[in-house]
Amino acid sequence: MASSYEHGNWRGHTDGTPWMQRTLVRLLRVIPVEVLYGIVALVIPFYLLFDGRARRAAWKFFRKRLGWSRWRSFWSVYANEWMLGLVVIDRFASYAGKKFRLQTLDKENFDRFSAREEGFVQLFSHIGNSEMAGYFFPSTKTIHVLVYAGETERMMQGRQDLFSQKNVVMVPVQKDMSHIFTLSQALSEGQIASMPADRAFGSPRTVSLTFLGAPAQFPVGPFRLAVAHGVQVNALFVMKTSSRTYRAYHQPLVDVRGKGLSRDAAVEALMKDYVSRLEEMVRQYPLQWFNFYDFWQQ
Amino acid sequence: MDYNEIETKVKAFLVDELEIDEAKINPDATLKNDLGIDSLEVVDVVVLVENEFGYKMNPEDFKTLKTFGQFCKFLEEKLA
Repeated sequence: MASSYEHGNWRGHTDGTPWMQRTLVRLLRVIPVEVLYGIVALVIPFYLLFDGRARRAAWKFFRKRLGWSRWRSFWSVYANEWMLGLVVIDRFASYAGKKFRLQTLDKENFDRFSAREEGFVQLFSHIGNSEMAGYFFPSTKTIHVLVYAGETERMMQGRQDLFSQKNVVMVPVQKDMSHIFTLSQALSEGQIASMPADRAFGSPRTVSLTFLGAPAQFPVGPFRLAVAHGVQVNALFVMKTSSRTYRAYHQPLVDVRGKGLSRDAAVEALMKDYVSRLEEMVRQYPLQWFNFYDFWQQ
Repeated sequence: MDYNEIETKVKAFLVDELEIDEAKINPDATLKNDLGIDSLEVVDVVVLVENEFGYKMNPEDFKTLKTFGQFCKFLEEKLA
């Protein structure tokens, strides 16, 4: 089971029928995640065989963007897809009540932002497993997370069950763009608006920035929202470090307020800072880059 | 607050903050096509309206507002 990614005409949902997902959750209530990790390891070669697009995208990522050898890239394509499988299993394991450890780095940044009266924007990307943070971090503020509206009922229910206890509200992307108003409203009320910053998620506006040595398109929306509201931006990365452990990084982006920058200049400064942090994180955890499409040719 | 006052404030915001060409701004100018206010700029406008006029706009408001003149008239009615 993996996540389906198709930028532009992005499907953006987790593979598997609702029945399969329900069964997986039931299964994970009684068996250790490590058993499923092993099963996924056996399934991945077949998955890669039939999903040429994901295979090619991962190959290109390791060969061209990271400059790895053919042999290393070959195995990394496999390991990358397997890692995605583990992350998805962990997500369902959380729905099944399984516990994971979280090591937090710089959590004081998150706490400092949360303690202020004003809200803030929290950004995540499709690396690691940012969703796990929602299960760990109690906040005095409500976190409004922008999510793709096409996920299965099981996925949405699982998230809702866990998130509702943690002050997290899901905001599905809407065709009428009303999600922007919801997030904007959240910021006006001093809450947290959490959005993906690596894919144009419900908005066609992007800016081309150099990422891992080549131009790639990044969405303007999340940064523009922060600038419009005059709030700070926190980058969140949650990376898997062992079978039951995740490490969370909270990195405040450059504070562009009060520096006399135009809106566009402020947005650009934030975007450049975010992309450079994302690049650093991807270089540190290359196997947890989960954008299985040609990210650099959008 | 009367219509002219609202128009002046909104116009100044569009020119200064969103860098929209002042010559393009007139009551008949369409928000989307003539002034280029799309979903991202709408956020800026919503924040402006809330901060400057104390009115919280919602998505439905923008469905009926097509031109700059209609937008200012709408605010005038809401703030009356």
